[in-house]
This record gives sequence, C-alpha cells and structure tokens, in this order.
Amino acid sequence: MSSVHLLQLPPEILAHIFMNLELQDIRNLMFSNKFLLNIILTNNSLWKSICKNQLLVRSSSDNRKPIALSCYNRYRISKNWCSGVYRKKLIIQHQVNYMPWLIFYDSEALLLSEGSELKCFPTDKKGLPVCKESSWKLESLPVKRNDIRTNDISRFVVKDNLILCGNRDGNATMYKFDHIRQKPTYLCHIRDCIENGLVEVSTVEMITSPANCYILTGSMYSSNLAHWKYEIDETNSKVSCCCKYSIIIHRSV
Amino acid sequence: MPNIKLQSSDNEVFAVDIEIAKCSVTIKTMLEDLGVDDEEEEVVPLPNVNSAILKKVIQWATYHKDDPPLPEDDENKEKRTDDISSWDADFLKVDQGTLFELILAANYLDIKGLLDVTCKTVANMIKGKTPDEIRKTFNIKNDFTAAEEDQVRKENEWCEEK
Repeated sequence: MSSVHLLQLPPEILAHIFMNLELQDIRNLMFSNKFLLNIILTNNSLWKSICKNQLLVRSSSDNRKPIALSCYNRYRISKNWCSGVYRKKLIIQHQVNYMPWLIFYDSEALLLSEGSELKCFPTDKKGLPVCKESSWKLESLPVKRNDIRTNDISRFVVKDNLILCGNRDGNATMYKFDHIRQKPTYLCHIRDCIENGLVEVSTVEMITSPANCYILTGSMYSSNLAHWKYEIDETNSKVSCCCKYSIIIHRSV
Repeated sequence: MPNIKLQSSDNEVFAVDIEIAKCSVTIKTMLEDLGVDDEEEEVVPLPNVNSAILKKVIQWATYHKDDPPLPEDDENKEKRTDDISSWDADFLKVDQGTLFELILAANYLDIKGLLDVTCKTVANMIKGKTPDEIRKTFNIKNDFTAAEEDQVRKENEWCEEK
C-alpha cells in the first residue's frame, strides 16, 4: 500500500495543520523545505491566523495603486514596526543655522558643535546619547576682529586626550580632554591660521606621536594648508605652537 | 436504527447507522439532496476512501456520535493543541501514512471534529522542532542550497521572538 507523505497533502490542508502553530514553529517549517516555504509564504489565511490580535498594516491605502501585499508581508512590516526596526529617535534638535560638526567619541559620548559651543552628551545603556543635558560645554573665545562674522566652530578633532577646534574666525583652539564627565581645559589658541586669519578654518588634523606633534589647518577658501609644530609642557599644561611651513595644494580646475 | 451502506474504494461495503454516517457533512448533504429513502438498500460509494481508513473513520464517528456539535470557529479563540482527548490520542497512535490518509478522508467527508483532531496531532509533531528535526520526522528533503538557506534565514530574521 502506498503511504501518503506530508508534502502530498493539499495546500489548504497543510495550512489547516499549520494554523495550530506559533510563529516560531512556522519559521522552522519555512527553513525546512522549499515547497513548504512557498506554501507558507503564499497562504494569507495562515498569516491572518498567526497575527491574530496583533497589529496588521493595511494592504494599501492608495486606491490608485492596487498592489496587494501578501498577508506574510503585511505581518512582517507590522512586526518590524512593533520591534522598532523602523523606529527613528530624535535625540537632539539644534537651534543654529550653521551646520554643526559631530563626533561619536569611543561610543561613550556625542561631541557636538553648535555655533560657538562644543557640547558633550554621554550615552546611556543602549548607547544612545542623552541630549537633555550636556555633561560640559565649551565656548570658543569671543571674536575680537571686526571683519569676521562669528566665532563658530567649523570643525574639530579628538585625539590622544586633545581636542582641536578650527573656528570660523580664522583661529584654532586646543583643549586638554581627559574624561567625558570633565570639562576640557584650555591649552592654547592658534591665531590667524590661514591667509592671515581672513578665512575660516574649516578643516583641522593632528598628528600626536611622541616624536612628531603636528597640526594641520586648512580652509575651503584657500589653497594653503598650514602645518604647525606644537610642544606640550606637561608641568604647566601649556602648549607652544609655531608655524613650520605652509603647503600649497594644487587644485585641478 | 436504519442503516446506510458505505462502499470503500476497494469495494468493501460497511453497514453504518445512518445517524453516525451523518456526522459526515458530505454524506448528510447527499442524503438530504437526493432524498434517499430509508427503506431502500442503496449503497453509497466513497471512491476516495479505502476500507482500512473507512473502518477507522466509522470507529471514530461511532465513539463520538453523542458529542455536542462543535462551536463555530471563533476568530479570537486561543490556539490549543493540548486539548486532544485520551481516547482520540490513543485512536491516532498510527503510522504517519495512516494519519495523513485520515486527514484526507476527514477533509473529503467533511468531518470537522476528525479533521481538527488529526491536524492538531500533526501540528504537535512539528511543535518545538528545529528545521532539521522536522525534516527527519516527516522524511522531507532539504532542497535549499547553502546560499538559498542563508537568504531565507536573513529575510525571516524578523520572525525571531523578542
């Protein structure tokens, strides 16, 4: 006598059997065999039974586009929605027009420049920065020149416990940064970085090996890169800087 | 009680109490539609059911003849597969082939109680098993290539319970 095999049962009977199962078992069935996968994916009443009492997105709210989503896909979208796959979280709403720069420092804190301020927001257990209150706030030095509009921070880098900020007023500032909970201390101010300080410092970089302590400052308004050597005097926590030379970048037209 | 004669696919004839036979909606509808006279000794052919399975179906229907009618399918009813009576559980201790044939017969004869309990029995054989264990249980071939299997798993990661 020939014996009936599970896969020989008609699809509607297989669906009737699978309706008794929870999502986990359905998932395992889908992974077991292509034929079963296909039966499961295409059976709408099966998915309706699985997602009973749960959120189910509508097939389409747009009548002009009668693209019917299968129940499987509707449930997938709903479930992803509920588990937060598509959830966006607004962590900060900044108030300045000038595009801020930000660095996610060692996944421990978000460092964010907003106008002339540099703020630090430590992360919570989930790794998201808590932006209600900053752990500290730096204010770049006030502008003393009349021909420069603002002292906004254009760009900053963090390296080896140092923060280097390039500012719109054509200066750069260096701070000592030991801990995300502790406000960095001022080290030095580099005046008139490029083109005698007439253009903003829109890019900065540091080389911090013990033998070579260099700073590069550049501007989007100049083809010159300034190259600085600096020395840190550990006892006084002071930095002295001098410009070594400037590099001229040849831009292609 | 009047009897009805049911003939299996392999031409064996079973005399069954008409009230018991009527648990099959298919037979009940046929008798009502055709207005078969109780006096007549008519034989109802069931070409989709063999004698071994028909015997089992009659045995099940005889035991359950006094059951109250099943409640209508409730959308919000909790899914349960642990509510199989011990008599049914014993009755369904058969090989897989027989179990599937009982399902097919219950579907064809439209016997909801038997269809439900047999489907639940198969569901219980699937529950809690890994894909590999499912394949072993039902002698199913893994027809995925490694790449396809990867793809299917990736696409259905969302099914993981959180």
